[in-house]
Amino acid sequence: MLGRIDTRHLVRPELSRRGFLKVIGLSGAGFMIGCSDSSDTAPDAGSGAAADAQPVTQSVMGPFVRIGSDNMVTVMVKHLDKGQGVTTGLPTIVAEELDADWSQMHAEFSPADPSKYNNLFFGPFQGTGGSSSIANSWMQLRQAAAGARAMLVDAAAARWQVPAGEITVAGGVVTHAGSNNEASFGELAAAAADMTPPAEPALKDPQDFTLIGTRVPRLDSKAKTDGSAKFTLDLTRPGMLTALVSHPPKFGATVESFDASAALDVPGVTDVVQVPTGIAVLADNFWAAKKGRDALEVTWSFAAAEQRSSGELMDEYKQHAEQASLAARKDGDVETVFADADNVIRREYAFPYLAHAPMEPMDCIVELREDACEIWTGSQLQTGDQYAASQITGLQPEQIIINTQFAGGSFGRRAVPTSDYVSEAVTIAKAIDGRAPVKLMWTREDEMTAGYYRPMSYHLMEAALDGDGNISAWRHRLAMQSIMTGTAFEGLVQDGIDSTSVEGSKQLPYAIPNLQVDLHTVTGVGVPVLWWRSVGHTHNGFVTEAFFDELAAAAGKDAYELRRDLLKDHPRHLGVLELAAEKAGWGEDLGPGRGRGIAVHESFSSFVAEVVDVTVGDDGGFTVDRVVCAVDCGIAINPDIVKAQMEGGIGYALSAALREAVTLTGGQVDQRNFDSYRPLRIDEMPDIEVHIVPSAEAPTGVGEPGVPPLAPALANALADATGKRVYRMPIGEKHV
Amino acid sequence: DIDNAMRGNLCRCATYYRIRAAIHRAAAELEA
Repeated sequence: MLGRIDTRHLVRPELSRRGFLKVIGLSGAGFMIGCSDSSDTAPDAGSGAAADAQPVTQSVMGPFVRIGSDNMVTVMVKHLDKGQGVTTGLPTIVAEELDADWSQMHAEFSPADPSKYNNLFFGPFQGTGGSSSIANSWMQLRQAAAGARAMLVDAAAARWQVPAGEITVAGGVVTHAGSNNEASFGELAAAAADMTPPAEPALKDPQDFTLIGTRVPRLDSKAKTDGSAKFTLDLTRPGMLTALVSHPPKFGATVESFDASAALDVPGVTDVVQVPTGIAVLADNFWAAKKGRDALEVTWSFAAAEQRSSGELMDEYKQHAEQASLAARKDGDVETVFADADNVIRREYAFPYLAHAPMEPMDCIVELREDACEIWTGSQLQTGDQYAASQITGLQPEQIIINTQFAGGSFGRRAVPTSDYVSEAVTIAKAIDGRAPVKLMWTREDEMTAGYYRPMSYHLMEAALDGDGNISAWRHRLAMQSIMTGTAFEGLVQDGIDSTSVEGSKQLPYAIPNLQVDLHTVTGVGVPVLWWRSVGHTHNGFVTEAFFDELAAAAGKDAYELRRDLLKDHPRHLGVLELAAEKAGWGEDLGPGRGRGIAVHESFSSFVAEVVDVTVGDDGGFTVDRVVCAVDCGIAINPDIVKAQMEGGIGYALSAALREAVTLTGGQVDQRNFDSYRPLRIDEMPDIEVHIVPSAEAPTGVGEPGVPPLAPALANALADATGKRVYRMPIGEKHV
Repeated sequence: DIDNAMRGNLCRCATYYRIRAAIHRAAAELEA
């Protein structure tokens, strides 16, 4: 599925599901979190031993479930938790089918091993993205947990010499009422691990769920509140050196020469080495490394660098969009309808580069040894990171040990097909022959200027209305860089079309008889681009929902009613649309200076509608007062986490819509920190109401789907209040 | 009051809503 990465050699022979492993203490694989106030913090990464010296026997019941003699159930979480809550959601699925008590549940990041922990939607590849964690794990974890439960029951049956069918399990306790026997998971675990799990364990009827669908407390809340939760940024290793890299000021620039003498004079600086991504300065501590980097003298060659400004690029993109001709979708005959139409409405939209700007910038600890390379980082594409590190070190991928850590946000930034910052860290470690552990740190300025961005794009929307005000033809032309071309994911580019460029438009659900989506992939731009929370849906969700709104107005129809009309065959779109409109009180007159807008969008198999209320002053200054959100994500494993992700997606989208843009002057990024890339602040956060559509469908993701409808709903609200539409992002402080 | 006091703290995950609620709750519990 992945094309250029040959992952066959990463796949290990199938291990037997039945396994028995006595482990004294905790495995060193990762930080463990759970409900109990345990002393299992890892002050140093990979220390391996529990702070509490009492020996505990762990019984392994397959790759995902471990039960200790202390009655602790540990779920191996194969996905990265970047705040979105998988370290709670995934264990909830396990606890449900296991019939465990929530208080005995713990989560641990799994090792990096695609043979056991691959994302089932990615093929033989372990990684987190596309809001797929819960969706791909749903049946896998249910089966793993139900299997473990069956093993516990069989162990009890054997021990008590009673029929397994008469045994019940609830709240972590296994009971045979008839013989007055009961035992905890902890007491049965060792014997249970010897049992053979059923090939197809019986799964619960969703009606019997007691944990799924409820607000179980997050397993990481306490640790993240009291500061004991460890992020890569917090970790140290004995003898560690901290590395900062001087990156080229323009993308594609190269080092012509450099003078390290002043840098090496800074107390604490130990090495200055050139790496493919720039010049690395290593020191005993961060501050020395930073002072050392500041003292570096580097002469850059800009011969191969991208030197255009974003304004220039956008002008070029506009021309490219007009010539866009690679059809991602072609229904009917748009050209003929346009030719015959009295009135073709045409609008243009422009979107800037955006930074992810996670609160924790990129960081990575590498310990390079002769027979292994051990890495600590918030790894989002573990298999890709293993592959990249093996290429650099000459070690086998299995010798690349990745200790996945909590990540302080990602929004897509940590999922780089080339494993950019991990590769950088490993390369630096290799440059000093692994003589010391290396902690690579990116500062906020590095994050803003050297990182990867949501692509810039230009869009031409055209539509014809017939005599009755129906949309008879619709055409979307866009120009942007391809995220996947030139990467290991290139195999996913079909017929020259990067699916991430057209997603959200290609699948337009409205019943429009003639519909075309044409793409022009811009090449030769040196700016590195990447998926940014909801990817193509960020710009396509906007142009489709904002343009649709404008068409409704032109046709003299209510924006909500026209959507309802054209979504007749799409019950799940209708479901969220109607719920949001109802809860928001759609149709009421808000009075002067106020506006209300609506948008509905499907992304990553979840459906979201948002209604935004604004107040606009005479000078165009505006406030976003309230967002009403309706989401259909199938079964909501934890409704509070679903709401949190909707709130977070809305806030993230609003931040971008109001003020965010990465601009280039002469190829150099203008924004360096949060003073110039200004995120949303607490006093700008609107009231948010989230309503979850009850559903029995298999659960789908919520990390990204809250994002796409926000900006268009906001634009539609501003248009409602002022009569003026939004065609360029960001909207800015005033809408005039 | 909360917004003014907390305006200097950024959250990229936009948990502001919940931060506000937590402060309200903490204030209530401290007063009790």
